Amino acid sequence: MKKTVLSLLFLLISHIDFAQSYKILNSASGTLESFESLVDGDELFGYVELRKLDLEDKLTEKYKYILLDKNMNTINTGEFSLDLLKKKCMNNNYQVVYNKGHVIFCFEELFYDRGYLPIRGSYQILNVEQNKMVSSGYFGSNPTKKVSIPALNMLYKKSYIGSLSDSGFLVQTTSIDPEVGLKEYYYGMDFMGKQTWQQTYKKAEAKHDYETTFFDKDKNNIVLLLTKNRNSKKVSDHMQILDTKTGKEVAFVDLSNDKYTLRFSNVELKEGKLYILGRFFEKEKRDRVEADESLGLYRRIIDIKTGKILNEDFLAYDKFKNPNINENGRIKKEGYLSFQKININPDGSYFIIAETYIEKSRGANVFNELYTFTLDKDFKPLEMKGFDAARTRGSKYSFSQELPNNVGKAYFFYDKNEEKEFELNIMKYMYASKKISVDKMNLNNEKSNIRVSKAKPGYVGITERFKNPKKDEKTLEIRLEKLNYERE
Amino acid sequence: MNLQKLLLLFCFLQTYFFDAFSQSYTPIDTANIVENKLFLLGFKARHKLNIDDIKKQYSGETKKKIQKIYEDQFESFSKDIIKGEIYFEKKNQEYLNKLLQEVITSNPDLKKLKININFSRATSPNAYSVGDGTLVVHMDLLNNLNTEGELVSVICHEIAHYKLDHRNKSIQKHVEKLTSKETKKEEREINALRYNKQKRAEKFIQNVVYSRKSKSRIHEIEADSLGFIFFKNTKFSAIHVTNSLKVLEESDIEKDSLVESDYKKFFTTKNQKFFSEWMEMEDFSKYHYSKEHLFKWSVDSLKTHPDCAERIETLLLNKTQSKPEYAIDVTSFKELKFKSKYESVYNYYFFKEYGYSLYETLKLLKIKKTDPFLTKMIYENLAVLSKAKKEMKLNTYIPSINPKEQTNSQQRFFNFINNLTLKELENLTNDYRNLNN
Repeated sequence: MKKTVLSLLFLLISHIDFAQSYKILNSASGTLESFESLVDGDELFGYVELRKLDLEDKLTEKYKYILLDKNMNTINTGEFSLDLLKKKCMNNNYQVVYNKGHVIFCFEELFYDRGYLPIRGSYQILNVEQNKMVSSGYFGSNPTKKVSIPALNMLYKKSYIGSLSDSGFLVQTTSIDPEVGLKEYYYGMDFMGKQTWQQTYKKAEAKHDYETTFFDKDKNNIVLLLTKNRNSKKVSDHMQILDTKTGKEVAFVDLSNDKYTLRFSNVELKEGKLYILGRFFEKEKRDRVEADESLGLYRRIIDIKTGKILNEDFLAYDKFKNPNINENGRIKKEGYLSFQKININPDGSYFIIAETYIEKSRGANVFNELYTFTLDKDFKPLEMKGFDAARTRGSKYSFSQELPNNVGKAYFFYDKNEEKEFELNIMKYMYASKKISVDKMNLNNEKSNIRVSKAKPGYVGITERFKNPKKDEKTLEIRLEKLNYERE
Repeated sequence: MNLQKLLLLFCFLQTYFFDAFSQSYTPIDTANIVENKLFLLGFKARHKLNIDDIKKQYSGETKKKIQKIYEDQFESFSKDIIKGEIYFEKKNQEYLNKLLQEVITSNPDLKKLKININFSRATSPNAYSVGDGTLVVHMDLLNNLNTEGELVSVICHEIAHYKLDHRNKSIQKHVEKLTSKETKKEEREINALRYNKQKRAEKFIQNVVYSRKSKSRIHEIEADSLGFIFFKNTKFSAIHVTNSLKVLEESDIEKDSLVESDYKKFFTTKNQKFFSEWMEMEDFSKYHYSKEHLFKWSVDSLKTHPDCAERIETLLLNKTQSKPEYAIDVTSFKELKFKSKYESVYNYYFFKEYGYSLYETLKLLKIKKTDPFLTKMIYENLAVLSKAKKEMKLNTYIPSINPKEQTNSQQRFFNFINNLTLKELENLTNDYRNLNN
């Protein structure tokens, strides 16, 4: 019924009822390296617990993985070994990605010398159904043991992994070529670890360079944000769209606008179109924005195949028909609007969560009220609703969760109650009725403290830690609770 | 009165009795403070004697560890008594004592032992010897046993455990092993290892566990043998021992189930219509679950009991001569068997397993067709579940779906509860409340 992350340790304890050296038990269960969700597109496949078991010899580490389904039931377990390049090294798992029945574990090898120096990156690919490692390798070229640690450290750059449609994984990596220098590139890797294509980062003109960030992807396309810099100062923003099968550039889009300076907060690939959503500002030199004063929300729709702009809409604040919002998005006595989440609903309309904030000294913002905005599919405002919220240091909004069968979405935010204690607010927006409702959950009561995390659609993970449990009573309960929403 | 009329009268009385009984079943009350206190006093006195023996027999770390185990077990069992988990109801108690007396009378050596026997509310088909002469039979066991003889064979088995002092030997031997020089040496060596520490530590624990489980299986065989000797001395036929072993082996296989039409029947109420969406099942087809142990240990080595066939063979039961049919008090046995079904439903509720309580209630009501007690239990469970859902604590009482451990029927039920919205659950609760008023 209830699961625990430390499944190995507790299982061992349950076998040994009597007093036993705790050190032995700990040694037998290894140390927890990571516990990650395995997400398949938008759907949660399950979880994986990774434990470091042993040093088999001075240059070999042993690991154990435990695969769990979406309800945290154990599917399977297995072990694998990782090499170390030198003594005083250790591996550190920094990323786990799931795609179509495969899990890739990414490791960074660290050398300890008055601090940890990263020197090498490696991966292991697990086929879940067969429950065996089908591929392993190194990111970049595999350096030899003859290379010194400082040199290795200098040559090493971390690689980042994403899923790549149905075919494998996308690797974003950097290497230092002795002749060429720094080489940044992505490549597609199939599930057997074979490189299927390679694409170097786009090169900018002289005295300029691009800073690249992954943005979004779907089955056919990868969207990257390329920020052009000159002497480390931003010049412009661009979107680069790549084909997932070949890595070739499909479109390269300038994100700037002649009339306004734009700042996007949401980018979404949907049915062959790229939706870029955010705020627009007075046109600034080099599109630099330092003020909070925006002019409204904007939407740009781009055709993926051609890179052409299909639609561009600018929704000024006066169009919201709310006298409390001034032309710069500020609400009197509350502060500027910060748009935390702009969501595109299945019918093409929009649901937006925003908070007002005041910037205090030393960059710490104080957040006040919470608002929702609904816009129609033509980006015209329909409704604005306010929710009485307390003043908090930091944003209240935390995360969102789909409801099953596409009936709606739940948005989670933390707020203080009358007793000044934090409580979780679960705001549900139902697509059919367009109704909004909010449930509250106390996070701290006489008996326990509660923490909440994302789980499978329609559910939320709850970790309840009991205060002052009596002997034989549970100290911790982890469960999956279904969100309360009505049938429409 | 001739035989035919007698038979007719008997059938009438049986039917009337059970019909009258099922009209308004009242769960057996275990909140009798006097009985609980008396039982606890006796248990405490025996526990003290046990601790005194330990202090004389052992010293140092061994004594400390053994004492702690007994103290913990005493505390745990005492809590169970105080919570009302032990039955003291007069009629059932008299019946159990009758069965116990039959065994003791047939085995005069047992007269020297002070043995008490009680039913408990625990919701699993089991029985055990506490180790101080107290035998506990779970009421749920009656749902699986078919004859009085089978119940007596279980009692004989537990008496054998007590006679052979298995519990005390098991604890003491295990602690002696753990505090031995060899074990300490092994622990020190493991802690000092730089390489393959986990492997060796796991092996060490595996050996400890395998050894314990193996001892447990040996104890079960010994209790089977001695228990069978006790049983053979009674007037019951050996077939009851064979049957009890077979019944217990299959006790974790669910015998009844609920199908979709049952849900439609039970949950179409005055203010709540049935939705087909309630029967939607979560999809787990993409998962390929391994049957292996988490540590890849041998599942057979982890069993606490040998397989049924092996136990029957060991007792050479197949070659034992049968005896004429015998019973001590069939009426009481049948009455108890009848009550146990209702008690099981209530006992899940007692232990706050409201999901399982509701599930078992529905399965029983499917057979009974109408029953005010069961209808009331539906309401009671729905009320708690409704409140829990509102507070987002439903999963405390309704397990997550686990295809490895749950039957299809159980998964269907848990899916059904999770598919109800809060309003639907509240409507059903209110309608069932009104049915009971």
